[in-house]
Amino acid sequence: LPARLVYLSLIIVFEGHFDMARFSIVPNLNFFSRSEWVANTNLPRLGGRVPRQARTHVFIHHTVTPDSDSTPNIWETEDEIFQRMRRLQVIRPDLGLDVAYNFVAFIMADGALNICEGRGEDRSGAHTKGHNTRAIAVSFAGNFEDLSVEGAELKDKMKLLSFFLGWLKFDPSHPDYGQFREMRNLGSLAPAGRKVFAHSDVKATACPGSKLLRHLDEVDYLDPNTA
Amino acid sequence: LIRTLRKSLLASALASLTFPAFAGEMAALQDFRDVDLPSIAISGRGPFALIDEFLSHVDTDADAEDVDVEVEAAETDDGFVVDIRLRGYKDDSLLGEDFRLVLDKTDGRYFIARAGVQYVCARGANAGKAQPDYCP
Repeated sequence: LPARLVYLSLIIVFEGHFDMARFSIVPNLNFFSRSEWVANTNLPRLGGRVPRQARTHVFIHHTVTPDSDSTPNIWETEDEIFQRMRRLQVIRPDLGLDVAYNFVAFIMADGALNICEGRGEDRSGAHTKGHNTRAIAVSFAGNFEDLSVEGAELKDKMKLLSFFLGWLKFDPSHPDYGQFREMRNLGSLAPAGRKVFAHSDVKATACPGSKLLRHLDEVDYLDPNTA
Repeated sequence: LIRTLRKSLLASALASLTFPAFAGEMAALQDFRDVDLPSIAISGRGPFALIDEFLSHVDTDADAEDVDVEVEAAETDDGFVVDIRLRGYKDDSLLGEDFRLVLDKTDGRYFIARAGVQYVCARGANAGKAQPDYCP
């Protein structure tokens, strides 16, 4: 019998981040990779590998590291937030020398929401005991329990956060970042009346602060392509 | 998680279990926040089975994560006062929790008469100290 040759075509999905990446997911929603905020490379990214389909829910936190100026939860410059990210790499050695969250969100004075990559999409975190593998944690930089949120326009920021979570869920790729698989199960686990968890839903904590908590029912998973 | 807890619980419990007489059961839960117990009382033949049951009641986390568990039991006239110290939480707000159980013995079985909790915060004014207020 003539030999039959079977040609298998392999679709290779590139899953490495481009080194430097900053881009907008939708207008006013900006993403910064670790290289972009100049993570201390002596401190490697921590956390175990987590398959994207294993991500089922989102936790919202606050960092309790407020700004020292008159607008403690609003950030003025990129340099300022990049410095904060490097500080978050070392702030809790007992959790490991890396940012404990998957992503950190900064409310910017110009109205934008800047998302900085922490452990990122594919690593476990150290943010919520018992939920560090299956959950994605987004932590808002600041203190939303004790300090003013005047001018933060949280309703607008919840919409931008919703586009970020939708980006993760539906198509977390960008020409300047790479081509990645979606987190299709994200949001399959949620508390009653909301699409995302607050840290205080599961632990004895005020995190993410009452001022942020009252807006969390506005958060959804919005496809950026519909913006 | 409970399987993990059980393993470390037994090991550390054997290592640290002591039976000093506990002075003043009435004061045992002062400065602790009450823990709601199930409407059907948890009861067991021995204190250890009860501790395991209690932990599965208060700890319902989705992911199994290692936690350091230390147990100390002090004998009283009616049963035991048990301190369960959980540490090493991978959590930005809490380092751990301290549970205190008041176990009474009736008809040869132990039951949890009362339970309380204190939180050990990772940040804020009370960081590192076990206390009953929620952490920031």
